[in-house]
Amino acid sequence: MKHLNISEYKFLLILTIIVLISIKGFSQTAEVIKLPQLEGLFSKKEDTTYIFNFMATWCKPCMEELPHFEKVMQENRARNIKLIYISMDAVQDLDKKLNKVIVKKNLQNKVYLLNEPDYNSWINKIEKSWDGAIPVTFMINNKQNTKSFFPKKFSYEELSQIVKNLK
Amino acid sequence: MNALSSHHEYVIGDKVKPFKLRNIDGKFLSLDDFKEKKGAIVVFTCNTCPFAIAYEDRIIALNKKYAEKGFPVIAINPNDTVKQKEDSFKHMKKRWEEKGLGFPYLQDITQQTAKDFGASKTPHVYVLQNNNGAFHVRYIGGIDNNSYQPKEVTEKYVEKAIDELLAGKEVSQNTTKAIGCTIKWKDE
Repeated sequence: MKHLNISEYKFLLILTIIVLISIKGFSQTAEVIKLPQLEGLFSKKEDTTYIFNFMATWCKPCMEELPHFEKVMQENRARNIKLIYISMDAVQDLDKKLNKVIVKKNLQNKVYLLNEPDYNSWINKIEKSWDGAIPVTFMINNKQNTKSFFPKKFSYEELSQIVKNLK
Repeated sequence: MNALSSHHEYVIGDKVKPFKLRNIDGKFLSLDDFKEKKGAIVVFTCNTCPFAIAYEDRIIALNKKYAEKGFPVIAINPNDTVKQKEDSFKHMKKRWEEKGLGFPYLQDITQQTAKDFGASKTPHVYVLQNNNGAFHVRYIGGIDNNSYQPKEVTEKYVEKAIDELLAGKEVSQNTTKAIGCTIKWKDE
């Protein structure tokens, strides 16, 4: 059997890497965060409206409204608006469920998994009137001092209208 | 808080309005059937929500521990069966049998009981205390502080509330926040 020389090894190595990347795809994988990082995200100082959508892969209405968020953000991509999904999935389901949904639904906006299962310890810090049901959406602009809370599932029309009216 | 209700939902201390719901054995149950008991653990739950499923064993354990002490579990499924076919009466009966739930599993077919209580998700727990035949709400919220990992639970809210009631005390932590699947409300 012929042995490969160095150049041929390098070629094979590069080819293997390219094949592996193509198989895995270029989708994001969700980043796991804890409460301090979530609070940090809620406290950004710049003049940008952050939309936080709290969801989970096991929550049917949450999954149904994902395409509306993606579409509205695509339509508003030239504006100072950022969408961040905060998943309440179990951290054990990060790869099994959440990362699969990111690929399946082709989520272009940033996804974090909030690994804080003791909900009673932090929900009130984020919003006192939030009873814990999901989906909920926050729209926050700390420079303009605006914070809106929507404890509901959005239709495309409603979401589109609300985002259109953001300053 | 709950966009769907335009009337008063129960808060701590409220007296529970009578309800009469069908159990999986076909018989109708109301709180009158529990008037000899010290109270009840009303749990709004369902067959389909992964959170509710994650808590099934713990709800069975609560019933095993507290039914003989006077606080039996009464489970109520409030979901619209058109939107959620696996929450139909037939499926409820099947789950009751397969899992050996052991406590009443009632169907809130009009969803009025869920609205009266102000339940918003599954599971959603209300601990009731029987004061001379009138049942009052003494605790509202979650079961414990770790839905996904039962072994990592450090606070058992429902157990603590009932232990305090059994000791003749007031419930010290009478409301907690918990997440769950939203109740599947009928289209208006």
